[in-house]
Parts: sequence; C-alpha cells; structure tokens
Amino acid sequence: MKKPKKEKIRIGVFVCHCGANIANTVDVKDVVKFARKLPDVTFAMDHQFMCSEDGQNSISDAISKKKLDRVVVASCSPRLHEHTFRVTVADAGLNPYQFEMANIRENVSWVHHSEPKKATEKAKHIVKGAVARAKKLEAIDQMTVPVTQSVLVIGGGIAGIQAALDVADMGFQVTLVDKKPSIGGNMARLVETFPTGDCAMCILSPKMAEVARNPAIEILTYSEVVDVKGYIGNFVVTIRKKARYVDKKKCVGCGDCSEKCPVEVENEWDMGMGKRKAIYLQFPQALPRTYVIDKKNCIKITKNKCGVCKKVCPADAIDFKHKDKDIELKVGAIIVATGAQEFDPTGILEYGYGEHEDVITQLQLARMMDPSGPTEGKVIKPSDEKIPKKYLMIQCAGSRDEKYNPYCSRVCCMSAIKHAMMILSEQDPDAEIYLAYTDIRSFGKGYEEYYKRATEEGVRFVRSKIAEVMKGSKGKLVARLEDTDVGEVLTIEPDLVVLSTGLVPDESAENLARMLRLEKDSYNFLTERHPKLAPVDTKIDGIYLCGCAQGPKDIPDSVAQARAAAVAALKAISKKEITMNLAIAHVDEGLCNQCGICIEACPYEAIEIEEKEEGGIGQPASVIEAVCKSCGICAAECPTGAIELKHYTTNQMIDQIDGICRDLNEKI
Amino acid sequence: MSNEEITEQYKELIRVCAQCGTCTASCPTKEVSDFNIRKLVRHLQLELHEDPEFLKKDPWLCTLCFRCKELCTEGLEIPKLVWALRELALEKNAAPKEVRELLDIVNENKSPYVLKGREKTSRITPPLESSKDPKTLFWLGCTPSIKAPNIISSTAKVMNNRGQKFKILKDEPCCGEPLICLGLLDEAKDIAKNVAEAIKGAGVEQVIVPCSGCYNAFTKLYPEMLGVELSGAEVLHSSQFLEKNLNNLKLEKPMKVTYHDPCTLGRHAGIYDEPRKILEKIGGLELIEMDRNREFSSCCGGGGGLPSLNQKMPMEIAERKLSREVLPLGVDALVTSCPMCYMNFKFTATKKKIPLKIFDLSEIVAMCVQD
Repeated sequence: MKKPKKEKIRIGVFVCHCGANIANTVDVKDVVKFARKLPDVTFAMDHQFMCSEDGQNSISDAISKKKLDRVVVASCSPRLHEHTFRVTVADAGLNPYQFEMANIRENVSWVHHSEPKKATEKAKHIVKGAVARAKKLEAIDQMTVPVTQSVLVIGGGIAGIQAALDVADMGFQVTLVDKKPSIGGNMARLVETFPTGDCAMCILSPKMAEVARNPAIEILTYSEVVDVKGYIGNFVVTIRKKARYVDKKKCVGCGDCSEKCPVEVENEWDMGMGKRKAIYLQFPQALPRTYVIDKKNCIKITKNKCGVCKKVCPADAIDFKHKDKDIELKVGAIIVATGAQEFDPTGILEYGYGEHEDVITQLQLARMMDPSGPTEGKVIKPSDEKIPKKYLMIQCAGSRDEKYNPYCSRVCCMSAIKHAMMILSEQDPDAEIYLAYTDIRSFGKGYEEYYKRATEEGVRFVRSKIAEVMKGSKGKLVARLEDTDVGEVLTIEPDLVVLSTGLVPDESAENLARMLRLEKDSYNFLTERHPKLAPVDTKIDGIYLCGCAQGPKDIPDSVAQARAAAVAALKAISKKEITMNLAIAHVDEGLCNQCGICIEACPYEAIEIEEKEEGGIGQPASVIEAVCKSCGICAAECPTGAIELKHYTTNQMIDQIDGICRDLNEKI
Repeated sequence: MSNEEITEQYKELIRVCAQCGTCTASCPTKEVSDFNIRKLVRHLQLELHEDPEFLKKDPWLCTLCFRCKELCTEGLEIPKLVWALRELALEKNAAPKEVRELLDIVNENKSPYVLKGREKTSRITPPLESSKDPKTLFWLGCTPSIKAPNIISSTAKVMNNRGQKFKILKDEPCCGEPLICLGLLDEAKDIAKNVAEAIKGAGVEQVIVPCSGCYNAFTKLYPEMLGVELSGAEVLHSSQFLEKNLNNLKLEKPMKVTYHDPCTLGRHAGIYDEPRKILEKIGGLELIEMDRNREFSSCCGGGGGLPSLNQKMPMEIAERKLSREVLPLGVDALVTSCPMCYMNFKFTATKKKIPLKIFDLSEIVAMCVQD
C-alpha cells in the first residue's frame, strides 16, 4: 500500500521592531531575509509593533492568505505576549499551541546593544531554533470542567466577614469558618479605631449581624479546616467542628452557667489581663451568642466532677456528650483570611516584658480600655492596681529589628497614637505620655493629621529607641533612652510601659499553607502571586488571600483587599464550567514502572498511582489533569522517561537546541 | 587604617545606622561625659570624621564594651568603627600623646606598667615554681602579676591543690592587648608573633590564662584583628580550668555575692556559664544576679584602654555600677574574673567608701581549698 503523502508544513515568521527596542540593535530586515530561506518557512515579514492591533491583523491575514499552519513571532519575552499571540492565531483558526515565540529583545537587543552585528547573528540563531521547534508542535485541546458555585472563607475577622458578604451579595453560597467560638477577629478587641476614633464594636457588630442574617452565608465557628483536596472549581474541604458542649439551637445566652462555674482561668481574649470561666462567651457581642465549654479546664470533662452549669441552665442546652465532628464541603474557590496576631515580646530581654508586671503591650492596654473588658475600661498598673500617671510607649518593639522582625507592621504607630489620645481624653487629661519612636509611619488617609493632633494634645514624642527598662533601686521602673534630637540621654521613671509590638501571622497560617500548598515569605505571611499585578491571587488557581494573612495591614486596607479577593473568587465560580489548559504532563503507560518518584516531586499533588493489590500488577502513574500546573518537575525527575510535558516534549526541545546551536547556513 | 579603607570597610554600617540612639542610651561613658557614640557614626555619615578635634577626643572615650552592639536593632558592631577611627587618628597624628607613651612603656618594660628594673613576678607570694616536664603553661599576664598578684597566687593555690603541674615562662612578654585596644595594630602584630613563638616553644598542651584581656587577645583579637593564630596548645581561661576541677567546695563563712561579667570575657569571648557554674557549686555561697547580666551586663569602665587615657572616668563608671546595680541587691561581695574589672572596682570601692568586698573568681575558689 502506498503511504499517504505527508502534507507540507507551512510556517510564518513575524519579526518585531518593538519600536527602537529591538530594531536599534538587531538588523530586523536581515533577520526576515534569513528566515525566508529556512526550510518550511513560507512567509516572513517585520512590523514596528507586532503586538499592536495592526501587527496582529497582519498575522491573521498571512495565516489565511498564505495558508500557514504554524506561526513564529520573534519579539519579546513569552511572559509578556505569549498569551496575546496565542489568542491571535486561535482567532485566525489555528490551534493556539501551534505558535512559538522567539525572544530577541530580553535575550538579544537589551543585553547586546553595544554589539549590533553579533546581536543580529544571535537573533538569527534564536529564530532558527524557534522554527525547528515549530515544525514539531502539535495541536493540543482544552478541556472543560464543571464548577461548584460556592466559596469557602477561612477566618472570620473583618477581612473574612467582608469577603463573605460580597460573595453572598452576588448570589453565591458562602461558608465562613472561624476557629474561635465567635466571628469578629482581632478588630473586636480594639475598642476604638484610628484615625476617626470610631468605636470598633459599633462598626463591626452591624457587619457581624449582616453575616448572620444573610441566608447565603453559613457560619461555622469553633471549627477548623483539616484537609483540602481538589482544584479550582472543585475543592473538597474537610472541616472539624470542635465539640462546644452547648447546643447552639437551645442556648439563649443568659450566662447563668458562667456565673455558677467554679473554674477560673486566664482570659486569652483579654491577652491575659483578666479571668474567664471554663464555660464562657468569647466577648459580650459574640456571634453566635452561644456559650462554649473549654474542655481543657472544665472539671466535669477532665475529672467528672461538678456539672453545675448543666444543672442551672434554664434551656437545657448543655450536653457533655458532644464530640468533635468532621464534615465535608465542596466549594469552587477558597478565600484565606486567617489574619495576624500580636508579636510576643518576651524574648526582648532589655524591655523586661514578662519580668516586670507593669510592662504591657498595646493590645493589653486596649483590653483595659474596653468598658466591658477586664478592668471595665479603667487603665491600671497591673502590679498594684494604682492609676498610672506617667506612661512610656516604645515603638517598633521587635519590629524593624534584625534580631526579631525586620519588617514594619504598619499599624503600631497609629495604634500607639490612638491609645495615647484615648488616655488623655478618657482616662486622665494630666497623664504624662512619652512615645519613643525612630520614625512615625503615618501613611494612610488622615493619619498625618491624626499624628499632628496628638502632638498638639501634648503627647511627648521622643525620637529615640529605648536601650533598657529596668527596676530601679526604689522598685520603680527606670528607662534609659537618648533623645536623639538633642543628643542627651534621658532617664524616665514610667508607671506603665507599653510596648508597640508588631504583627506576626496567626499561628494557624503555617499548617494551613501546607494544606493549601500556598507559598509563604520568610516571616510566614502567605505570598500573593504577584505583589503588584496579582495581589490577592496565589500560585494555586481558585485560592485567594486577603487581610493580615498576606501581610500586616490596617482595617481600611484589609477591607479593600477582602473585596478584591471576593471579586477574584467570584470570577472563578460565576460560570458553571471553566476551560483548562491541557498542555500538561502525560504518562507513557508502557514505560512507567510505578516507582513513585514523580508523586514525591510534584508540588501540586497532581500525580497518583493506584495502590497495588496483593500479588497483582501495579497501575501506571496518572496525571490529574485539572490539578497539573505544567511545571515539568515530574518529567525531569522520571528515571525511565515515561513522563513528558506536552508542548515541551523531548523531541521539540532537542530540535530547538539543535536549531539554535548549528551554524546559520547548516541545514535543520 | 586610612580614611578610604574605613569608609569602604564600614560602608554598610554607616549607611544602615538609623541614628535611633539605642547605642548612646546604653553606653557607659555617656553616663559620665558628653561622649555620644551615635554621633560617631553620624560624623562618618556626613563625612565630618577627619576633623582633628573630633579625632583627638571622641574615638578615645569608648571602653569597647560592645554593649551597644547587643542592643542595636541592626546588630551593628559600632565599637569596631571606634577601633578604625583610633587607627585613623594615629595615622593623622591626632591621637592623644598617652597612646604613643604607652607604646614606649610596653617596648621598654615588656608590660604596660613601668617596672623600673624589677621582675614582673616580684610581688607574687609565695614565689611560683615551675614543675618538671609539665604539659601546662601558666600564662600570668601583666595586670594580674603586677597589679593584682592575689589572682596569681589564688589560681596557683588551686592548681597545686588539684595536682595540676604547670610551668611559667621566663621573661613573659606583654600580650599586646592594650596596644590592640588603642589601635596600634602593626606594633601589636610584632608582639603577637613573638608571643606565638614563645608559647609554641614552651611545648605544652594547654595554656591557662587568669587574665581575660590576654585570653581575649589569644582567642579573638590575634586571629581576627592581627591575623596571628596561636598553634600547638589549647588556651583556657582560668574559669574554664576551675570549672572542670570542682569538687567539695565550701566556704567557711556563708556569703551572698553577685557576678560581674567582664566585657572581654563575656561579650567578646562568649564565656558566661563557667563562672556561674563555679559559684553555684560552692557551698555556703549564694549568687544573686544583677538586673543587667550576661549579654546585657554593663561595663565597669576599665576597658578599651580608657584607664590609660583618663583615670577619673573609669572610676566614675564603676561607682555608678556599684551603687546603682550592686548595692540594692544586698550582697556582701562582687565577684568578677578580669583583673581590670577587679582593680577598677576594688580601687573605687575603697576610695569611695562603698561597703562591698571585691573578689576575683580564683580568690573565692582558693578560700575553699586547703594549702
């Protein structure tokens, strides 16, 4: 039988001037002339700006008029315009993968502008390689997968609350998970907010109520995400609902149980400034308004004694038989809003935190100023409960410090100023407040004016860093600092020292990052895909970030970022199905020996091997198409060469290298 | 060190310093003078440091205690800059005249003290005897043997008690540490080479050093600042030797003490634990720590060559430390393990009538052992 005649390949080469960027160094016309002579090249041309509308039109025209089946564009980096040109060739009827880009800008003109002759030679080599590869390119299909049109928000602070509301308001189902008994997050601890002086709870609790009222939002408090599987549009999440021992439907929030509970422990909500019972409400405005039993400290649970809460509960809401319960949830997108916590300054020995009772943090001070807090709104010295007269606030305690956190936490300057003004206006107009700083960061809207007002109201700003806080001979605290504006060392004897410590990621972030396969920076803040152009996206499609989980920020920035994350998540789930790239890893089943190296190597958990039955023959590795991100690590690691990355096959790469390396007049 | 070398070598320090003032507020000299170490860096940032008036005064007031480095948020080694400026001042003939005078004394006496023909060991009682064929060299040091011979006799008493054989060098030279502190690095390098030869020539396995200055010179300053390595023998500070040889130590009369970390032994050489372990093991002795201790310990004022240039300031610094940090603890004595700290504290306590006894660590241990 006669073999069917192989159809001739028809390649078009398009060389871009990029204005002067390429053309000033590379002789573009000469490159075009060279390309025309390459085998299988049917057409070649140049253009001032290949990416312009006119440039793209000339590609489409050539495809139809010259019947091209492959396109090579010699211009800039594929990072910049690969997508642009793939769309152009697809619109003209070609498969988008029958397009190849030759980078003669970043790789040639920009780095060799002093040697135009050699640069032109190099450009020819690169174009020759691209043509060689183009010959081997194959059409690759796309696939569509169905989408679960709902969103999981992890973290019920102000960022998570805002993101949940925005997604729900667009008509999609949201599950809002918080590990604490109530939503609200750190903002609920703040008492007042800068620079407006709004009462934090007064602006937060309406939002919390809105979340509770919205039928599209399911709130899961006292719950933690323990497992995440799947991919964009199709995540399967396991959530552990911790035993609360109080029935949410029955509890009326009367508080009789807490009043009678005999166990008192340190209240972590008040940063250890007060006590709470073993059965408690996180804070008075908690949502849901359901009490919770802390099983570590409840003596009924630990020692089977007591049980008085059950006896006094008028609603019969207490049930000691509750157990942790895992539930499975399907969602199309995930928003991570796990927030931050205050840095623990115990390690900074020179400030004596943890050693001297009257050295506290700004958040501890805030808790004291809360009318429903541990001291009912009155600031006292923890050592003797007397009213402090002289305050010293130490900025950057552990921040912008190579030994602890080198970064700036952005909120500490303003929160110290806020507290200083609150002390003067609400606690004691005659208080002496020293605020030691190295730089005041008043970057936000209205912040500089707020800072100025504080100076006018008599807060004493001292440009200095404190060397040490010690107990003096009379038992009083003594702080030594240099007022660097006058160059003199001051000795201050403050009644209360308040450390403005920075923010560190919430302790849950590290584990969660591992589960979600997200990247972290060196301080464990989760990393966005691009700091400027993809600030709420992550390297995993379908997972988005907002609030302090991504980095320290104030409330306005957290809310703005939450709304951005909501839009990104909505974009992922608003259509019933999504198309996905299939230029992914592919296993040659005959070559695979089931060694499992690829499974270890894959950063996305996109490869699986079915477990061998006893005595049976193992199944070859298979790629979960929707999860594969085309990174190629598996292909490089596979010892038998069974895995290849489509669109980057060994044949294609060898031919491209061959094309680049051969002499310009040698045949390819 | 030339001006260009300083600006190049300390480029990062000069640029990074945010002028926050932590260093100045933690500086011992600042407490008794208008010396401001932050301004030293500022002078370099603004390239004002070649002013002879500046070079004559400011670089010479630092005790090289390195406390500021511990507290600096960037961990900048500001005292190293002091060192460089001292070299620059010497090069530009702007150094105080006492610096060159000290060099002459060291060259003439093989010691930073004027001996007028006497032996370095003449005040040590009972006289030391080298035993036969020992594997240990007892390096005496100029300050312990000339100014605080008690330290030598106490250490020797403990060594004899524990059966530790040792020999001493005939005509032991100065280790050169005072010259290094004052920026005379070339001159010190010659001395260091001779010392290295002498120790190698002694053919021993270990060297026991009762002076924290000599110890710091041998283990840190020689290799890091002069490029001279001592080879052939392990160098031990006497506290390290004592800590290994502790059994049944008990004081006859109970005593409460505090321990002063010498800058040269602590922040420079990193020895904090051994002296404390010794004190904690002694029966009848109670150790009460000062608020500032270990890395954060404050300087006695006697370091960095300051006593060679100014006799008043070291005492004023020591007086402040004793009255502010030590007296409120209600202790009977202050124990240290550096002859400079020992001398400075002892002299200050006597002169200012401060009711405190001052001991070297070796004296306390010697009290617990029989002759």
